[in-house]
Amino acid sequence: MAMEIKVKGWKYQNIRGGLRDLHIDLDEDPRWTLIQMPNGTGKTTTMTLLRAALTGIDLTETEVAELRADDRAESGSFELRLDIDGDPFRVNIDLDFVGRRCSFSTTRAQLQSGGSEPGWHLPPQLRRLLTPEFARLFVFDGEFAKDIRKVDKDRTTKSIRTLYRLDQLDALRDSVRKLVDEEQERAANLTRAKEQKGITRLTNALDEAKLTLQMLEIQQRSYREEQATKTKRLAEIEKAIADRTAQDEQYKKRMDALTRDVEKLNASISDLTTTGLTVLRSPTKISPELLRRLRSLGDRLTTLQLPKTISVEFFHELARAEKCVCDRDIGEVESAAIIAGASKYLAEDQITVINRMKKAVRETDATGEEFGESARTLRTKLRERRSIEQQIDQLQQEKVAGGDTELQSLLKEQIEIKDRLAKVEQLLKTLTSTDRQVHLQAEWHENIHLCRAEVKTREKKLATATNTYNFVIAAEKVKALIDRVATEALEGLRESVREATNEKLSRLVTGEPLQVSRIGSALELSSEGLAEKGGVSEGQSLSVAYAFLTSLLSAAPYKLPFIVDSPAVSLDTQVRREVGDVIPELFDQMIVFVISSERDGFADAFYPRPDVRYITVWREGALATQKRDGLSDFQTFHSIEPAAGGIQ
Amino acid sequence: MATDEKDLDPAITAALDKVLAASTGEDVELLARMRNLIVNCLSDNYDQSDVRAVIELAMEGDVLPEGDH
Repeated sequence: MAMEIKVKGWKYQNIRGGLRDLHIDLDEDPRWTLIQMPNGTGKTTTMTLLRAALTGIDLTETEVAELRADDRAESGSFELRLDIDGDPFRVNIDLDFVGRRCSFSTTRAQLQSGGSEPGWHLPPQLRRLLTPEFARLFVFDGEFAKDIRKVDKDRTTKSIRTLYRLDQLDALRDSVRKLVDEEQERAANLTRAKEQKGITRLTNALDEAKLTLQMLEIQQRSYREEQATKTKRLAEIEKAIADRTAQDEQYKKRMDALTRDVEKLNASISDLTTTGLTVLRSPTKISPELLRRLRSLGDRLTTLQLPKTISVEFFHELARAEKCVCDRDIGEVESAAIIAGASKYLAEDQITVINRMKKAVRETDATGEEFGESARTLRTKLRERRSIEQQIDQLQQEKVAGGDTELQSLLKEQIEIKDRLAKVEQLLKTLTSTDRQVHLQAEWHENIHLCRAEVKTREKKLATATNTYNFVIAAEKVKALIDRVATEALEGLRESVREATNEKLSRLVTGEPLQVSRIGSALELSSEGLAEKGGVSEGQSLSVAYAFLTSLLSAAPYKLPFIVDSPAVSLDTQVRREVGDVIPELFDQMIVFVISSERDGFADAFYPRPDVRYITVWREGALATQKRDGLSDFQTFHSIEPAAGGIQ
Repeated sequence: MATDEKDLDPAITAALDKVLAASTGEDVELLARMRNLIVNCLSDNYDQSDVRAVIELAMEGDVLPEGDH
């Protein structure tokens, strides 16, 4: 059964934003809670504290200092009350503003004393789930919506793995690995001292290979991330250079003409390279001297008067015969002489090849100049391209010399990034290539595939030495099955979450096709129509995030509250209404922090619903924050953000 | 105690069905034990002795994952 977590309320003491002594009680279990808080009254602070209480992760010194209500406050606290599968829990964060420290304590029904104990002690199965990263999914702010679509963050796949507990299969793999280690250690302990030395050496060798593999994989991830970041930055720079130069008409005209020339030359160089390579495959076209030598060789082969049908096989048969073709007897001596001499003659298949070659040389209409001509033309085109590239550089330098320092810095960065990208590409090639030629030149500790093979070889050696070979092989089978289940399950979950996301998107974003085409390390949107519009708008991006999150969370084996800050600020009215209509139905508990401008379109979609709690929090000048319950105050509250307002 | 499979997401059940399906020549008992182990693992309901038992069973059979054939 799904584990259910409900927020029952929270309490602030001496927290910034005037939150000196404020309780939010949700004991009546409202399904939806709308909390109206003007900017500056502690919405972001509340989100930070809720995440900290839910994850048990210590706040940093700076974060503690920033939570301080004022200089006079030496300590403060935040208490979160939860209901987990019917059991009450209280997580308290005590804040020492002087020492800039925080400490957790937990009160739970299971404690015989009924009191609190130091530390964060929510049920153990939640510890793995409630990571800071994961908490951002259900204690959600708009900024995170952008992250969900960033490839380098890899949040979507991680979220699915965490929420559906697939990462526990990693732990299962580790258990298998640990058992193998134990088995080998046990077997090693049974060996004689003489053998022990060898086993220690093999164990160390295996550890070294495994560690190297880990390092190489880390390196690969790091290079890939660098590649993605730098490629993105390069595109930004190129756009910035284009934008910058577009303002100068004269410059733009010259640059456009040069760019067109380079593009034409690139096409021409590409064609010439293909032609050159084709010519290179025909030896008669490479050079006049080579053609002359080939013809000379052909003539000599003709004068050898090679037998057309006689082959090496013939001589071997002859050597086994009793009499030669000249009717003389073939004894052991003659037989050996015939076999020894057979190699002077050519076998049938070789004759065919030579005849074909002779025919090709004889009948060719090549002059031998073809490759030279092709290479000369290619050289000319390459020179022309270099010349135009120099003119482009010159043009850019003129602009820089004219005082455009920003362009200068962009150009400098462009060169640096291009150099680095080329270097990273080379490093990645060495690291990840499966090409045999690359493998021949690389050492096992330089290439991931070679390193994996090395780990396997060393594993086998150790397993053989410790008589645990069968155990290791069986463990490998078990691990492989676990991996396959994990991969298949992840694929299936991605697909079902994707379908559910698209179903919601079709309701949230009407009028134009906005669909998730794939859930990889990020959410990939189908490109139809997006490119012309310059990508998705912020509102659409938020809609994608909501559709994804609600699809992810609503079908998960945990029933979690959905806590969201300013959900509709960047949405236009129509989308707000759709979000207000669609999202509430997907959660058993939803807590929404809004500002007054979000009432229209979003909050008012809740007004007809029966199970909603409305809370309005505000602050008069430097006074402590106050709170009122009820729809009437919620609807009539007005404020001029970010200044404090009040109930009318 | 065995965990109930009905608590699993259908996508996970489908993956188990696909990968651990009994077919000609495969060790049905091992596949069933693997399935139990994975289901229990997803509910954090297993220990090292369960894992060892499955490995030892795999030593007796000859179930090879795809790619190892």
